[in-house]
Amino acid sequence: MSLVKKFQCPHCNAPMDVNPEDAIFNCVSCGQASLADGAIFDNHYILRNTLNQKKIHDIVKEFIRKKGFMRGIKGYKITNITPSLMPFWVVTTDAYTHFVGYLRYTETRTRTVGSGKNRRTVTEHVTVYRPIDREIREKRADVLLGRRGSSIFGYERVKDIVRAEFTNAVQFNHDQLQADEKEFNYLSSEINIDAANQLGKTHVFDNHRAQAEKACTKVFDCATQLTFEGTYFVHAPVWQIEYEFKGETYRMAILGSSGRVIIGELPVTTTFRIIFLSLTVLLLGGAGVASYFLRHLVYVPIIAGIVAAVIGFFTLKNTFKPKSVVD
Amino acid sequence: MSVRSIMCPNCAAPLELEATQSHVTCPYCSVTSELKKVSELIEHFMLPVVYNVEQIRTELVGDILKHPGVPEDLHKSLKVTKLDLKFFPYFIVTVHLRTEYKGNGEYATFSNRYKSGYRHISTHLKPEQGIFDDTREFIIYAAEDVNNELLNFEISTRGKRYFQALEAEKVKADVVPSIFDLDQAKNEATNQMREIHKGLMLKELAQILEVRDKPDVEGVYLLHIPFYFIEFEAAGKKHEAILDGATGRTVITTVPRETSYWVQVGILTTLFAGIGLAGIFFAIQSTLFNFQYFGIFGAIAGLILAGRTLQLGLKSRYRETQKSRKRRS
Repeated sequence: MSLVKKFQCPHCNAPMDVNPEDAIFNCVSCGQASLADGAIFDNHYILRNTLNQKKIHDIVKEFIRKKGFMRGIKGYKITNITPSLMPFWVVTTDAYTHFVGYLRYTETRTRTVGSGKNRRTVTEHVTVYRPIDREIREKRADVLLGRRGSSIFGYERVKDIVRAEFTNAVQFNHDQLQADEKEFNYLSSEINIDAANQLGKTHVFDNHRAQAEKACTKVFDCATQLTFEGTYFVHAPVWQIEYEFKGETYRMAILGSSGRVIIGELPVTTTFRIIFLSLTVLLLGGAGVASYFLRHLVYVPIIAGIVAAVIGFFTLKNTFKPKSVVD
Repeated sequence: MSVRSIMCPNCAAPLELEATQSHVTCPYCSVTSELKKVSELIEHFMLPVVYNVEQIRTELVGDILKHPGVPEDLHKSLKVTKLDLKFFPYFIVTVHLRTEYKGNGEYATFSNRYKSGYRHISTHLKPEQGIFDDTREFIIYAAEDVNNELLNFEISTRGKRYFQALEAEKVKADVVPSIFDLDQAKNEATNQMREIHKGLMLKELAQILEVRDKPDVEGVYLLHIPFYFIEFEAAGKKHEAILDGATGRTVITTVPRETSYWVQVGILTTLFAGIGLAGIFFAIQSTLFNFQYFGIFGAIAGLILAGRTLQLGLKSRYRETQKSRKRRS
């Protein structure tokens, strides 16, 4: 009678220390990946890290120089660099959706009525209904984070980037990891392969329905079918960086395989605020001058006013916001 | 809490574990064992308090200082008057639901051809049936008092460990009990899932006649997350803030401002509003000054910008992360 089940590597039988958060385990002796039920799992890939501390410093410098050029950021200091291997599931599917509905829109038409003296043109708006019967057929790769209920800084962006770079992934090799990515904080997946497939499927459904709703005013029917074409477990190296400027901390995330900045925060300095406030005021002044010289034309002041208001809406936001988030 | 002992199945070393513990790692041979008889127990985790009081104050001050018009010496002058540390319960539930539905769906016939469409549409009903079958993850806030800030906070579950009441005691934190037990949490998540399917059904059908569903909870755990509730004094006023003790993120804080900031916002608003009012005056009196339509620009831009300045300038709450910013990929 055994009440207790012990975890062992299915490949080399070495005992395993299992973390409560994991759904995939890597044996410390032979590196073989296995699932919680003890089955061997081979679809484990990794995006190889190409960065080191020095390159990280260069990327941060370049990012601040390029994206923060109007801010006068001098004398920032990198205070914390944490490299992690983030677990992702890439669910590849062949998806097919058929949807039916209609699109309603208005067309403007002009026509001439009357004759002789009473001849005039009338503009009228016509409501038109266009039936829609369309198909979506695509091969997809949906990316999801292998952690439950969690989110990481720049999550939505990193999914897009992993999708784009997924083809560069190589077979996961435990020995190589020990040698090259030793400093990395290794995170395994909490989501098992079946749940990953299910969540991936939900993704495809939601996405295709959203596409259908975008194409139609009203969707009558929308049905999706899909076949799974392989599910891969991919580790991506993400460098999380904190830097300090004037005693305040800002964060950045960089993908270690290509050096792309996933997302970064930038300080909003007083210079930056003043620039945007001046822009707002100048714009208003410019609109005033234009309106003054073309004051006999009614549409010039109206357009000038709207343009100044719309642009001012955003420039004022830059004047007041606490920090910028750029990707 | 009662303690049980078992023998390590690998090396026969004696192991002790608490009543609610489901996994144990042998300190001698490092084999992890799972106790099968405890399957009914909730997997219960906690996030450790990574930030101590001093560090959390630094995080709070750092976030406030990013705003314009705050006192610059805040690192020294901010005075914490009250500080509570509480662990709040969240259930994380993965639900699979298969819904079979029958009803009447709409379809349309079009008539009266016009360019690439039709002028007339008439909709009819026809019997329709289908299946929704998907899996989603729900985060269920399980504390009794509803705190909207904590309800909408984008939690992080990284670095969780098995819950230990001792650890909460050590940092003098209250543990807020969950109002749901395991089954209620599952039901709550299943109901949220049903709502989603109901929404989808209403998109497909005009009348729902028959629904059969089969829920299946694929995973559930309870997680206690530490939050700091802080009352502080700055710039001569009382303020409140909530911070996440595990990640140091600011859930919400009110932002203390200096008087000069209010003066600046006031001047700016007056300037824009002045241009707006002058514009209205000129537009109405256009014939009098022979200015014609000159004033219209000011009436539009000035008033909108004055409103925007007030809206942004008076905003006194700051949240570091928010849930709603989801981009569908």
